[in-house]
Amino acid sequence: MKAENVAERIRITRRISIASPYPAVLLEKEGLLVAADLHIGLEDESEEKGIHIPAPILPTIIKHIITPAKDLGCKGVILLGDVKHEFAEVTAPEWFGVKKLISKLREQNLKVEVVRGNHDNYIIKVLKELEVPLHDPYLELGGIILTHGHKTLPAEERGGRDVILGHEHPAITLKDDVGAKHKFKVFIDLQTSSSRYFVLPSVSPLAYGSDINEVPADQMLSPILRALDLSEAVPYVIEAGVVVKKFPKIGYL
Amino acid sequence: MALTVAKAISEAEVAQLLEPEVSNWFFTTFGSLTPPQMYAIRSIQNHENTLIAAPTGSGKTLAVFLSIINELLSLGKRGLLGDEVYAIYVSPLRSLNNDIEKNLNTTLRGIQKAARVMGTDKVLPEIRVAVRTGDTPSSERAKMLRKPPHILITTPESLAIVLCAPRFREKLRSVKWVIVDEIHELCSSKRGVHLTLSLERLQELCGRGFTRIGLSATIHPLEEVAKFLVGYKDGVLRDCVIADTRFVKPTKLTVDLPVSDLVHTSAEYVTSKMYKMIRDLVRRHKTTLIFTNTRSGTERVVYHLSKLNVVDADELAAHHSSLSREIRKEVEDKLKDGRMRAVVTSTSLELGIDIGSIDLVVQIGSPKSISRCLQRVGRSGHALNRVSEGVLIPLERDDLVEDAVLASEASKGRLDRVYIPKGPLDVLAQHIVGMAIERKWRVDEAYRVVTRSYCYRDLTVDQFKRLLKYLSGGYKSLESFKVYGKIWYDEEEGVFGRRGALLRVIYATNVGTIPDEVAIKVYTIDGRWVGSIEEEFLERLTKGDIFILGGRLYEYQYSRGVKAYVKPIKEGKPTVPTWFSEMLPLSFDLGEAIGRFRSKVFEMLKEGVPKKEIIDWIMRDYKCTFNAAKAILGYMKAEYDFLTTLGLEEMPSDTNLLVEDYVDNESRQNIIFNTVFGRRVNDALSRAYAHVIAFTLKANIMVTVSDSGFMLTLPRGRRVDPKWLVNQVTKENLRRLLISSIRNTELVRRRFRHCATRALMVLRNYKGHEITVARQQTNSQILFKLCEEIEGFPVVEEAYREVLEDVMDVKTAEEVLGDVAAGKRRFIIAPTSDLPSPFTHDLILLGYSDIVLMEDKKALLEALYDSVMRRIKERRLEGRKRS
Repeated sequence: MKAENVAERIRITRRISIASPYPAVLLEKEGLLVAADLHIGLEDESEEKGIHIPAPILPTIIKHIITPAKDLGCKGVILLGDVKHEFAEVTAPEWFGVKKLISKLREQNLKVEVVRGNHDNYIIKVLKELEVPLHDPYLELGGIILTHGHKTLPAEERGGRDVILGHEHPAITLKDDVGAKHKFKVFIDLQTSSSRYFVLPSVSPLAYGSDINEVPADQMLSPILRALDLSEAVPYVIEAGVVVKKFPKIGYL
Repeated sequence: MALTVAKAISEAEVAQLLEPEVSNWFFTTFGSLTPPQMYAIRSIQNHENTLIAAPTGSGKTLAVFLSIINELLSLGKRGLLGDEVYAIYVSPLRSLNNDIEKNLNTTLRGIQKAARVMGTDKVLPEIRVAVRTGDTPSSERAKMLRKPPHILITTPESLAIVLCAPRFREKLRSVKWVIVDEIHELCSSKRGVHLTLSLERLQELCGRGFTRIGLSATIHPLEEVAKFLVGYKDGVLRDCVIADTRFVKPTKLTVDLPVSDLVHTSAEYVTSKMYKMIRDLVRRHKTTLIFTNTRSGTERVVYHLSKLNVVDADELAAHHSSLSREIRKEVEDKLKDGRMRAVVTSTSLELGIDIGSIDLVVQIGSPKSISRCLQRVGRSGHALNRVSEGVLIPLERDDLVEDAVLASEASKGRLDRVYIPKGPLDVLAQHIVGMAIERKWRVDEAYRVVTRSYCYRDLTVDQFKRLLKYLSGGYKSLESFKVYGKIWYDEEEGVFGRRGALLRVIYATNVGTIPDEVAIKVYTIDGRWVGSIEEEFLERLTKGDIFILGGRLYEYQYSRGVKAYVKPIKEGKPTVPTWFSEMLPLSFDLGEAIGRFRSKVFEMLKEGVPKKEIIDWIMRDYKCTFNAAKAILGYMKAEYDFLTTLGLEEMPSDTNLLVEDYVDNESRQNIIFNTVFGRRVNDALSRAYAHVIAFTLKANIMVTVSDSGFMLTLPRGRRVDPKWLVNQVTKENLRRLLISSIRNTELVRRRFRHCATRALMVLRNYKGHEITVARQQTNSQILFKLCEEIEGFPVVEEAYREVLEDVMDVKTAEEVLGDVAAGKRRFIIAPTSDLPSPFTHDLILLGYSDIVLMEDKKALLEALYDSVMRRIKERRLEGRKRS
């Protein structure tokens, strides 16, 4: 096992920092870690579809959340949707995985809350049993809106506030001097005239990303992003557990 | 343990050995024995393992079946013929299987007829022959269970499936002979490796040995192929008799060119004259078989020949694996009936299906190996007393030299060595599952069976156990809810067995070694379908790249899954070339011969031997026409003049390896190794050297590889001293450097996908759904990243082994480096130049490129950031200049 890095802050605003080098952000004032798109149970779905994942996935997901939470002295964790994977039900492995995650977080004295994502149908049962608050369609903390991103927020509800979302699994693909192609997951930071949008990369090592710098805006998965001009967005490239680096605006890439 | 040479048998002896009806039929129909029959019948009669090596159409198959049918009839006459399978015939092609079935039935009818004449037909038993493959309908299979065929004809994959069929496999316990046809083709791929394990499992099922018979076309060395066929028993090589009749058919090879100078003539002109040359050849012969090296090449040749009205439209056709089975069968039937004047193929007509009589074989370009050339040319002149005639027409300068040297080596009976893969873990994984389906096994027992195969002789117990661990889901930690495995494995007890009711279905629908090809569908952004490209090609594209498809220009936008989206553009230069490698690699042995040829010519030039003499010598010893010989000399002289002008005193050869230091017009240093070792060895050497530079300079290096050398391109402004570089890679550190260099490449990831499918980690068919290759592809990329982090994971180990040993040739590369260390070869470094030598032009224009990346992800990200910033600055400056 590689030695994992100690988490450090990369300041985005007064209120939001990236918990580098992990796929999560820190809400400074509240002392809360936010992470999205865990897709617990994806590997079991893969098995059902004939793809055997030999490596254990859950420990990595748990580690990529707990390590930054501890290192940065967080009080709690907010899971920003798609905690589990299966649409039509809660599978037994998902029960197991979600319970394990929650119990490990609680072992570290971290409070847990969940914002609902489109894959989180039926998660209510699990969360109720574990007594984890579920917010649908968003959670508002001191002027910042936390939503999964699969549905738009009516303008009145948003009212010029900053939004943190997931759902898109953003990534970029770049070519270097010798023509080599590289694909990386990214955080997306977009400041418009009215508000700031911050998109989180997926925590799940099995979730693939959409190339933000190649796919046209109207092909984005999130309706929130479809309405925005992404050329002004600033990407923060992440190699989970290793490094995070800020890159020039998408429009320049 | 012995590999012995076959002893001939006379016609009189044969007549004595055979049952009267068979003898009667044989000598009435054929009159005499062909050489393969003369040398193989004796050992087959004695139930000795036999390898028969002979060109096609020489009566190989009959040599085998004569003895077998004879013995079956003899058993039948004595009332000893049961309802069991006695002989299994395996070939890689379904069409070949169908041909064999037809021939056997014709033979049996002929013998029946002879018996009727002799009045003994009532006593003659019925011998049943049947084909069983994936196409066989279930009604046929049910029939086979009730009345098993005495001779079963099948493919390697179907044999593996049948070994697991609970009831039919019982009928195989009586097998006395197994015949492997086209063994020269099978032994060099994982398909053949897969077959050897099936044979060992079959032998275990039978509880005793059976006679193994291998049928091979021209290949070398026969001893290796024989070992592959028979394997080991308790660590000792099993016996085999080798019947070598490879050179029994006289072969005439000619190297011809439509022009006498390839250095100064345009490619279009050469090509157009070549088509006219082929037209004339086709018109002068009854049936001509034309080999190109790629499927797209095949289509192009047919197109141009039809434009020239060479022959009637229905007498000219293409034959390759992308065409439908119906079309291919139609062409094969027309060939058999003598109704085709010309057929153009890539490799699909190389194998032994009956295609009637061909009087000329034309090879466009280079066949890349002496054995392959003889296999192809051997398709012509079917009746044994006619000569096999082949004309080689190269298009590139390096092809020209290859063809000439090849023709010379072939005429001296010097063939290049076949490569047999050793120890593939993915194929073994598939068979372990098959074995588990059969019954419960003890680990040491299964290990013993498996290591009897020639290919798995050196398999370690540790490797075997790691495969069991992977297949039983043992790499998943206790953190997981469920442990998924295809088998259960009790490590303490040392036993394993099947798991899950679906396992046999999964196995039967996923057996095989041939990887699925991904066709990426290309659409314009407004949804119009344009065509398809290969997955490998898509992996190179980023937004803005321009390429040609179906003759039109497109700009790549983005891709999602199996679809790529493009914008059609009117003008522009392609940024990514669209040729793509289905190219066979030049064999190392042929490369060495080319090195020696080059040095001989350079010596003659140095000594001032008159041009005419050299041309005469090339024409004579290298089977060239005047045009070809003159063009070769022109090419050699251009290089010779260039090097002498550069101040070089020693000329390159197979032992003097020339290294050039070329600075291009973008001020980049390009270090070019002129090593004519074939692409497989060059691929290995190039990446190792590139990795050294990448590591030292903390930069990404571009590598371009071809059969005659490789080029390392550094980023602008960076430099290394070639004299220092050549010493950095040694026999001892090559593997380590190579593994580090390919770690992040598309090459390894793609091979990993293939290995994952073979090892049943990613299934093609599951629960009645065919899983699209796109899904397999996507998931495999992520899987690779995850699996790489598991220590000792066998599927990853196999992906690397396949790349290092099968795709590249790390072992020969190690030998070459050993030669350098021992002083048997040396590097000669040329002075820095702003021009590359003529020998490198084909490499630069046509070579296969890849990137060797820095290992450190952090440093890579930094470098990537720098390069992006630089490009932005450049664009800004350009913008300012314009305004």
